[in-house]
Amino acid sequence: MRIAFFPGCVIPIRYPGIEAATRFLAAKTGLDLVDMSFHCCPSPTGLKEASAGAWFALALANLRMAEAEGLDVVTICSGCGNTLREARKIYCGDEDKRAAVRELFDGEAFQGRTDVHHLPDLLARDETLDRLEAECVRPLEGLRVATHYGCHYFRPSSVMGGEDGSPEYPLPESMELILESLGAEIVDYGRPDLCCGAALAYNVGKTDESLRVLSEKLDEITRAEADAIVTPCPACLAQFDAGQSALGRKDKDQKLTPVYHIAELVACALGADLKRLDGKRHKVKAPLLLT
Amino acid sequence: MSESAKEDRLGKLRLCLQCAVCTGSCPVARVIDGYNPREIILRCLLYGEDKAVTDADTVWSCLTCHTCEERCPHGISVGDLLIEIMNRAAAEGRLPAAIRQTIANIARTGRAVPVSARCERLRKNLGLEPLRACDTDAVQELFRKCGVDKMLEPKCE
Repeated sequence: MRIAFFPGCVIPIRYPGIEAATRFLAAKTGLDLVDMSFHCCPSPTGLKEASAGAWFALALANLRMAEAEGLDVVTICSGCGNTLREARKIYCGDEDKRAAVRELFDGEAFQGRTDVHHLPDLLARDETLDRLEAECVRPLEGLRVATHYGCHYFRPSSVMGGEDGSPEYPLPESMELILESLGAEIVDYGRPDLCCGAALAYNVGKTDESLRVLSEKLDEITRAEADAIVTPCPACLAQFDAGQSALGRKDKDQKLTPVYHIAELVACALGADLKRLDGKRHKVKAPLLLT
Repeated sequence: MSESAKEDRLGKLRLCLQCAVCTGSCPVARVIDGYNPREIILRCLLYGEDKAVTDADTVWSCLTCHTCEERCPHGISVGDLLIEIMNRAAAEGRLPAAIRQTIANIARTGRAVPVSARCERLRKNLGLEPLRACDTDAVQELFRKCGVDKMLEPKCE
């Protein structure tokens, strides 16, 4: 399947190992990633708050690049996936807003043919799950995993729900399907839909308050005795990773649970060269990525 | 927003029961005093959306997690309402410094996160191609047409 690869801003710049993991697993699962000159998605927690009009225009400019090549888009960040899906939905469903952007683009911005997929949705298709099982050389057996999707993966359900309009609420299960096919054990924990709190720190500098939101989440994950936290979002990953590290400096008894992007764990299980995954970038030691 | 869209939204806000499920579900309301989505809706109804929020600092604490509208018994899009209140504050020059910096990064390089030589070196070591150049002229033109360039001017500080 040829598909336009939307790496976003955070992963290629801050976590290039996740990009390397994605490229590796794509080759293993029959995804032909096409590189394009996409700009920032832009993020639902940044530009959209300053100007929803500019946010919409930039998102459409990205979508039309993929559409010009006749391709769908795959994202590896919950924020990118949310922005591109919401912009597509607004464009296809709101004549007022479509008319407003026609002026910006001197004509029709976008036809609505290009669809947007988040990586876990593609990997969780039946035929790909079979392939993951067949190609797995480092099974995740014995690993107790807590999944965290990141709010923008599934909320608001009016935007992020299924094609048939069915809400994926309270939570999707794509990562559960992927991780189980690689041998991991999924642990249930309280309030899995709670936000990680990242935007409070990076948007308004309220770091302590941001860590209080994170702590509520971590307490539940610790209680469930998870060995690892897995997320499809680099902003959530950074919050769990740097946040636990900060909490650990304040409190020696803080339990530190390794955090992985779903692409890192899949690439690891499929036999990637671990040196290419840059696991030492993680602040909380991520043993599965270390040689 | 068109007049009919404004009417639709006001009609929707009038359905608000003030039940406070939004505030009770909000992770921010638990950690920041004075952050209260229910009260913001009430103030919109009493004083109008443009006068609803006088303390613009507080509203920027929204995490955009959308839990409020997911749980609202009348499906009020609290998230969209908050975005519009933030957009109005930004147009008046009240914009958190970190968000302004992010927008400036996008204008300069097309990317929200600053690009460095260190990052390019790491990419090379991992066997990745250098970052592709973005069409920053196109990004800046869209910013101009949407009035975002004005938000980046120093007088907004």
